[in-house]
Amino acid sequence: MRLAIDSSRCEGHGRCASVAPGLFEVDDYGMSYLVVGDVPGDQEGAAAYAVDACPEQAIAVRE
Amino acid sequence: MTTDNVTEEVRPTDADKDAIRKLIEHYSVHDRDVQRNQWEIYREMRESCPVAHSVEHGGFYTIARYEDIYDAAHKPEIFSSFPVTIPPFGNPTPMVPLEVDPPKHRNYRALVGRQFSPKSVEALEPRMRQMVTEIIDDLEGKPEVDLAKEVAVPLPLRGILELYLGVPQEDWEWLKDEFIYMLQPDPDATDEENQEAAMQAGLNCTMYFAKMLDNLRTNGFGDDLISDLVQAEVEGEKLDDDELLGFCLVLVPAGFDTTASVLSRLMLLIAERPEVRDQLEEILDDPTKLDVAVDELVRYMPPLPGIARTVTQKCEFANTQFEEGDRVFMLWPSANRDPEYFSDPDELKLDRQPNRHMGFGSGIHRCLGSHLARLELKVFLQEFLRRAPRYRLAPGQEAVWHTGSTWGVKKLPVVFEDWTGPAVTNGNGR
Repeated sequence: MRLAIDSSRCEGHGRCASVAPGLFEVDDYGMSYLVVGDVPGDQEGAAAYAVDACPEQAIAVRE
Repeated sequence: MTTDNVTEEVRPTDADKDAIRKLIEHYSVHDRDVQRNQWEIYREMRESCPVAHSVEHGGFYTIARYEDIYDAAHKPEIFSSFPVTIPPFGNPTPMVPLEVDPPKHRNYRALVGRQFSPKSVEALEPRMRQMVTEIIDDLEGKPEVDLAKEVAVPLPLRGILELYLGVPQEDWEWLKDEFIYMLQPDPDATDEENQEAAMQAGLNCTMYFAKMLDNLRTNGFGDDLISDLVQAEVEGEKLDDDELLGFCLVLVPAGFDTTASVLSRLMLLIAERPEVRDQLEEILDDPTKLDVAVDELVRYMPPLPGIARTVTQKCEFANTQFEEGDRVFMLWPSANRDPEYFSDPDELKLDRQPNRHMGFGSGIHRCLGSHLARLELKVFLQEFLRRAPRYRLAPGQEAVWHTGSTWGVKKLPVVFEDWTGPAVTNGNGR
């Protein structure tokens, strides 16, 4: 499973980094970025939460 | 008051459908009947008139469904943010960055993004905890307290004035009063009377911050946000005084009136539904669960009844024809209770996940201070629930709500049980 984050849509709510701290981090301005390529199997649930948690609908599952 | 575990947040009303329809036609954030019946109004709007028209304040449209609100919030080219209230505050130039549209918006927003980012806010936690501790110290031992006045307002007010703007303590109280004139107009006065009072209050605050700017420029800058802004540059140019004062005028109310609304409603909820306190006490030591719970609290009782936009061009949106200049109002609380997006939307589920709520708004203007607000709520819950005894509404008295740009409880008189008894032990309820 891989994730994609559309940084043009990210507004810095930080929900992804909150519900899936192993997959996302935020920069100094609060904007989120991915810290993994392939999502580890045990974090697929967290990844799904992050996709559904984003108020900007900026995160998607790529495959 | 109610006795059967039903609070203002879900209170069913005896208003019939015709009465609700009439309130929809006369929707206004300044109307007490609208506020009292808000959940019925949103339900009716979502089901039968997702874009409704109100005849109040010169006429405007309300948008009630999650999907439409999301779309409108993400089309700033069609839905301009100036002015951001209905009726407008009356400020001739846009408040920064709240009422600024792209492309200028991004520059302004970038100036303050770092100070309100999760990392910067996290660094404030020790000072925040100290502040909350002091506020609870002041309560300790008192049998009867107005929790709105003693906790809900001072906590976030100090958060923004002390931790961010460096305003000295002697000015907190009167500044708060001035901002309340602007944010919570008298529902019994006319729009004109309220606008006049708000303009005067706005002027007083502007003059205060103008003096602060002078003082900083003369006596040297500090590590406060205003000092940062004075020294900042956008595309090689410093901000002019109008822009700087515009920032100050937004940051204060955005920083306290909003969180004060959630805090006051949360403390009312705890008074009326002790089982919510039990549930919260069980997760006080689990930061992840507490984060999830705080977001659910903001979904369940978002501070703003909504926010306004101005249509920039003739267009069709959500099956409705709009003309240039039409005013629309996006009802965040209605989005947060939309059953298409939330299961059992009228239930408070502290472990609700996912929770894509709009309590902090959505799109380019999403709440800049959301991470600060989350920290305030989290630290408040930890310190208050650990130390404060159980309480209930003072006999013979009622919680008094305010209308306006935010909806909250302005008077919350409660009586505490014995302060000397055990509060929470081992993170479990008593």
